[in-house]
Amino acid sequence: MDTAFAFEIEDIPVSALLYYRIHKTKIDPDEPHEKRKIMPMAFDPQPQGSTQMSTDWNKYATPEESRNRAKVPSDNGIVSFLVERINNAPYPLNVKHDPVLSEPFSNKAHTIVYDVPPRKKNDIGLRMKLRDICNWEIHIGG
Amino acid sequence: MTKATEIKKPERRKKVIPSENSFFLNELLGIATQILESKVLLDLGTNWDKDGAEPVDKIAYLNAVSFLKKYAAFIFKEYGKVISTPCTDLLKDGSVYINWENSSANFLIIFKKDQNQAFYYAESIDAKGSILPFNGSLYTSSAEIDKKTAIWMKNHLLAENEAQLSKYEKLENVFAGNIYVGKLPKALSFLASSISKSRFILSLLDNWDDEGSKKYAEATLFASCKFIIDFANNIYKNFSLQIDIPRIFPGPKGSIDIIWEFEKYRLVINVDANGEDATFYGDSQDQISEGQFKLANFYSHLLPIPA
Repeated sequence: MDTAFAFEIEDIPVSALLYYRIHKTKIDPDEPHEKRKIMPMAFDPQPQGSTQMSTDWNKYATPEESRNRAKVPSDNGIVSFLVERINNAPYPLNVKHDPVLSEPFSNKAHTIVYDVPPRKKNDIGLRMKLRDICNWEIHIGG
Repeated sequence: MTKATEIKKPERRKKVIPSENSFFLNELLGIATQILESKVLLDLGTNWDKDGAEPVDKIAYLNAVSFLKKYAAFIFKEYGKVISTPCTDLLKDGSVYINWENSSANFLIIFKKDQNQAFYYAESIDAKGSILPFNGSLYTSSAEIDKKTAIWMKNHLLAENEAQLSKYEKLENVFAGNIYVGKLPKALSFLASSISKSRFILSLLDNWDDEGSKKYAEATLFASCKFIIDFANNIYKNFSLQIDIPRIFPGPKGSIDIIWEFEKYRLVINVDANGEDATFYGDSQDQISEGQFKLANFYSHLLPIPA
C-alpha cells in the first residue's frame, strides 16, 4: 500500500517550534558561552549542496523523539527555532511541513526550513543569525 | 672613529632630529617622521649658513629620501629589523647627507648635487676593537637594493633604544599539529595555541558528523592558519594592534571557518577547500560587514580588524 499520502500536510503556525539536531562534533567544548559553542557549520544545509535544513515540528515531536532519530542519539543535542523568528530572519527562509513515510521510520513531524542558501559568497551571516535565534532543548550528553 | 678624510664635517644650520616618540606608533614611523621633518631643508635659501652656502639641491634631497625609505622598508620586510633613525642635513654646496652614529658604527651617505651616484663612508668596530671600514657607492637612479649595503646596515644600524627595538627580532615557529605554518613575533605568540589546537580538524574522517561530511585536506588547514599569521602580522605592523584570538573550526565542503566572537563584535572568515578564496561576515550591534578576498593577495586594510 502506498502510504505517501497518509499524513496530511499542514500549515505551520508562526508560534510553532522546530527541533533541530546538533551533532557533538559541531560543538566547541572550550567555549563557555552555550550558544557560541555551536559551530556555524551546524546550520549548513544537509545534505551538503542542498538548500534545506531538516527539523521536527513540536506539534508531533518532542525534543527527545527528535534526538532519537539520529544514528547515535547520545552524540546529538537539540535546539529549537520559533517559526516566527525564522520567517523574520534577514534572509528569505521559509518552513514547510514535510511528513515522511519512506524513511526507515515514519516522521509526521518532519518539517523543512528551505531556501537556505548554500554557502557561496555573502551568506556566512545567515549561520550566525540562525544560531542567534535558536535555544537549547537538550544539550549534548544531556 | 673618524670619517673618510675627504669628507669635511659639514656646516649645519639645524640638525633634523626626530622626536623621541616617533617609533611608538609603528616600527617605521620614526623613519617616516624623520623624512617629514627633513622637509624643512627645502626651505633653506642661499646663504643659509651666512657664509655663502647654496640652497638644497632638490634632486639630491629626493634621492636621499628615496634611499632612506627604500632601505628602511627593505630591511624591515626582509629581515624583520628596524634601523635607527638617522640625521639628515645639508652640505655647504647643497648636497644632502644622511648620517647614522652609534657606539659601535657610523654610516654617512652623501647625495651630491648633479651626480647620479651616492657615496657612503662607514665604519664599525669588531669584538676586538678593530675598526672595519665599509665604503662604496650606489646609483641613485637604480630601483634595486644593494644587498651588501642593506646587510651592513641591518647588522650595524639597528635601533639601540629599547623602545625602538624591533618587535620582530624574536620570531616563534607556529605549528598546526605537525604542519609548520609560519612565524609569529613574541607579541603575537598568544595566537599559537589556537592555531595549534586546530589540528583536531585533520583527525576528522569521512562522515565525521554522521551527515556525510568529508575529511579535511592538510593544505586547507595550512592556508587557513597561514592567513591568520599573515593577517595578524599585517595588523600588528601597520596598526600596532594585536588581533583577538580566533577559533578555528571545520566548515562545510572541506572548508575552514575562522571565528572571532566577543561581546562587542563577531567575525567569521571562511576559507574554501582549495585554500584560495575566502569570504567573511562580521557584525556588531549596529554594523554589518561582509565580502570576499583571495588568500594569496589580500589587503588587510579592507578587512574588518578583529581587535
